[in-house]
Amino acid sequence: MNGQSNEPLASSGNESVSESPVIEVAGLVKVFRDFWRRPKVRAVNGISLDVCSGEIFGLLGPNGSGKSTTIKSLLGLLSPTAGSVRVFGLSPRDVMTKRDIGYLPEESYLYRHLTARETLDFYGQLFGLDRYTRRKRIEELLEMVGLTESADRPVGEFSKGMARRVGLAQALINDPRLIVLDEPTSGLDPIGCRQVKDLMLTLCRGGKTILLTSHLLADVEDVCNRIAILYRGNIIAQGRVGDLLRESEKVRVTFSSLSTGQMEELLAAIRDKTGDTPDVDHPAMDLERFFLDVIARAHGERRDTDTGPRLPDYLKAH
Amino acid sequence: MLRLRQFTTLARLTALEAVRRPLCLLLMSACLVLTALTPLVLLHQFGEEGKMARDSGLACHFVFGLFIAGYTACSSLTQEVGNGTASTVLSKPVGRGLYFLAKFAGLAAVVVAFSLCCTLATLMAERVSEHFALTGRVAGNITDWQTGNLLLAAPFAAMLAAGIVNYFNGRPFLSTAFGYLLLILVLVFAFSGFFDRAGYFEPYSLRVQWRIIPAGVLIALALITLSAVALSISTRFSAVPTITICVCILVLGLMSDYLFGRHAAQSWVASVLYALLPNWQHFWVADALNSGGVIPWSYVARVGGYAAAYSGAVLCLGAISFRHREVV
Amino acid sequence: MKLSAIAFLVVRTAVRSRLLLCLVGFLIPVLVGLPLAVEGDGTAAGEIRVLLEYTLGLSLVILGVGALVFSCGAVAREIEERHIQLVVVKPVRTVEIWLGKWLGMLIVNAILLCIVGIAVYGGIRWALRSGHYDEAEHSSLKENLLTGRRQILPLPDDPTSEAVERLDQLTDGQSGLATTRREELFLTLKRHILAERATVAPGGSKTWVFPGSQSMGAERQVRLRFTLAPTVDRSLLAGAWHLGTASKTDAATVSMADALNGGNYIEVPQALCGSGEPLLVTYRNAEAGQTGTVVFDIGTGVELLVSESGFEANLLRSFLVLFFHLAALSALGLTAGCLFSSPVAGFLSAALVFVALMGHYVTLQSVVDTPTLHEEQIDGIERSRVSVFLEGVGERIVKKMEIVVEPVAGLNPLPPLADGRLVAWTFTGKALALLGLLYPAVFGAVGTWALWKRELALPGE
Repeated sequence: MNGQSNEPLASSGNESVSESPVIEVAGLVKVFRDFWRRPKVRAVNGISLDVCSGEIFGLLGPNGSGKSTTIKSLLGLLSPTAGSVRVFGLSPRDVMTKRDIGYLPEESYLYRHLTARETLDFYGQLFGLDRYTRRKRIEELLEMVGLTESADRPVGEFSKGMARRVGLAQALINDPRLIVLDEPTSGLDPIGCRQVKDLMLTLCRGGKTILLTSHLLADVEDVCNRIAILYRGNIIAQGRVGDLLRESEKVRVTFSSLSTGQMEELLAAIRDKTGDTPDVDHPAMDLERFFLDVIARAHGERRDTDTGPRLPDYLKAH
Repeated sequence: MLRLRQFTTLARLTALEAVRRPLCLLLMSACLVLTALTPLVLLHQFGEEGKMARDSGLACHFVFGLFIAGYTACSSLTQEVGNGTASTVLSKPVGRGLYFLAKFAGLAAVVVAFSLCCTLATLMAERVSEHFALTGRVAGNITDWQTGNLLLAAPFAAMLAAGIVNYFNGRPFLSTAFGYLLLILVLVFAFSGFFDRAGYFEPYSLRVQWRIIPAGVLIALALITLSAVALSISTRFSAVPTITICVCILVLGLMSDYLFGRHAAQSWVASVLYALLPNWQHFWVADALNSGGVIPWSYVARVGGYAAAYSGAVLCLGAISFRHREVV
Repeated sequence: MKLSAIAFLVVRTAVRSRLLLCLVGFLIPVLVGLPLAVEGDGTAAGEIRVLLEYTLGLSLVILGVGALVFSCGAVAREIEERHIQLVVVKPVRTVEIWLGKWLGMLIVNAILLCIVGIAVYGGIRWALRSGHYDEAEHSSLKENLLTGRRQILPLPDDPTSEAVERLDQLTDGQSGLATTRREELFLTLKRHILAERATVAPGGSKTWVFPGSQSMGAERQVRLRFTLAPTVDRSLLAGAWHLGTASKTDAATVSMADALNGGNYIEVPQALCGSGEPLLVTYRNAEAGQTGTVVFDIGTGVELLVSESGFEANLLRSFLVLFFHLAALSALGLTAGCLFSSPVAGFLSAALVFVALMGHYVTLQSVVDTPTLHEEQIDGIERSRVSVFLEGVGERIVKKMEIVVEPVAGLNPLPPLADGRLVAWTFTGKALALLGLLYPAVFGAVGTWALWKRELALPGE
């Protein structure tokens, strides 16, 4: 075995997941109504889930499955039709709850006339951060997301990926305990995606709780401890990633190298013992790894010295 | 044939988008309600009631039409470019010039529909207003309450009908209400012909002052011209500067004769500005209807030519501007 | 800090979206072009009045519309473009959002008002530049226009009792007269009596009584101003004004010719001011053959004007009142934006202001001129029930709106400013209390509640 497993990297060595739930959702129902108050769409149909402190929880599902609706109900942007939602034990509409939440929406709804620096400063002020702390954090965050040179350009001139980075930075300015990311890698190039994933893992190791939604299953698989899969407003699968993905009825064995003769001997022995003819092929690396390796070589850097984005000090583990 | 189909599709879509804005229906309803209320509340005005109803109707037509034409034209192209819809359309085999002109055609269609409603309402408002009548059945001042009440109720009836259709069929409320309003006004207009002004059943005759129609047509031409100006400016500017420039052109155009016309003979600058700015006074000739006056159709044709030429020139500039604009 | 962050965001948006620039672009033709284009009546006073009434008035219409439209968009557009989602998930209360936006609007309004104020004051100083007017005109401007004078009106001359008497005489025996007709007749008689009392025929006289006041102190200039009806031929007038008190009748006498030459002003001797006794002002018309009939303006036939303030202070107070007007409009627009989409909010709030002002005007006209017509028959012709119903509904709506509009309708500083009359601190204080605090507080409560209740992440929001 080469150590490849379905367990997310986060689970190895991450001892900070505790059982105390940060988010508690019980029987959440959200029905959108038309002008006449008639039900139009039942976006969320009685889901229940808990997100524990220190874990990365993924919400998956096809378009229209209710992921964003669930997220917005958690943040108080939508009112549940039925059921209850608690964040840090309080109602999501409570102002005190919001001190410890960072949110990145699916689209970066930023003020296009403000520069990146002004945007972060504005949101920092809304958290009541003093000027010195704000300035320090802003510079660190801009460096982390790679926008130091574009910090004084209006956000309206940014590409989607750059706007996403600013959005990510504003979600972290208050050193939140809970970070809610709605499609965090949307619009980012593969390097950016890798950096965001590394960031999430680092934040999680520091004791933060992350709730994310994504269509990109590879991203979720890499980072999440637990996932829930939604379909038409219902949770149809929920649990630890490794447990859900394991095909316990099959076994895979990987060798580093085998000659043709050794291969045939081995196959013959397996056929004798089990009566099965196993499938043989060469494992392939995923496209993301290949892409990153190629880019790294072009840049003249070694892959294993790439330490990912530089995390600001205030976001590191306390 | 393909181009024609593209043109009509885009124009129809533009018109539909325009009438689906809440403000469009609000402005139209407010205009019609004010036009209908005037003859019902202005009584005992020494025989001037008809004139006041007519002038009020035409003024409401002009003022509210300016808002509708300006707002829909300013926001239509700007929003589509801003949210990426324009780039999606232009990535298809649709020429920029055709797209731009189709936008104008759609907006002009909305303006024409609005003007039709307002002109019908003004015709009926004048009929409703208090008049002295001496017939076998009535002697004295009479007000056509029946037609007036129907006219006043028309916007509310249209909204009610659209609400019912929206409830049962899910059809969009705003565009449905707009269409129903036009239909109901035509029906009320036709129905009023069965009755005289005192409300008695009489041989069919519409009993309206048809000479108001040329005034309504002139106002419609003014609104179409303003739409062309606003659309062309919006190819280069965002909503706020577009509206600002349009308001300036409107105000300067209204005062064009006073500011530039009287100096045109002495100053070439004044004569150039006088020629360049649209002279809205050509389109507002409501005073010509006083004391039984008539606006000749030949005048309307001449002003129509002016409007066509001016709009054409402005649209050409707009099309050229749009051709070179980045729409990402 | 949160309030200031949101407020400065509003200011930055106004500047960077070029809205401020566009409004200044609208103001420049008015501030510069209007005084150049409109010459007034050709006098120095006329030129200054153009600046103070027309230029300032039109500027304020532009600023009012701008404040209303921009404030509607301040919240509504944020909801439509979903910027507000990133704000609401921060620890910010909805009341803080509303207040922050309102404060931002106040700053924008203040900047624009400053520009208008500097331009108007600069225009006045430019008009007063040396060599433009002669000494007499300068002096007249400083005494009569570019100042702040407290107005004292004579004790009211209520015609009601006389009108009742005459009505009874005229309608004696006609008990069947419709109520509407009696009301109409009564109001007509009142107007008639007031007009009679404002008329001084040859050989006649009229006396006005001004309340005694210690505040008309020895240090202040006190002048009597009289206003004649526009139709009066001044060249035919001859008579004399007599000023005095109960104990000192005829303390001063001024001929009508001298008074007319003095621009309809008469100096009140210092000895008569500050005594505390009511001031008696009598005009005695000359005999028939020597003079024509003098008709005074019914509204302000005579008035005392006491110099209390300099022009700059008066102008400052006026601008403060205008600032409070804009504050109230901004609050209304913000609340409308919390409830509706941006263009609908703009339309509805503009319509509300328009209907309120028109309703107030109609109410004033009704009180002065026209009795309420509730009857189903007028002149023997039956009115439509719908028409009667509509009139009743309209009246009820107007009356309800008057409760809100009437307290602030009189808070317009432009007429006194353009007439050299005092805009007092009490006036400014009333404007602050109503327009600066009470009405915005009510609007703010509604807006905050609406924003709190609203689901800001609905699809299509």
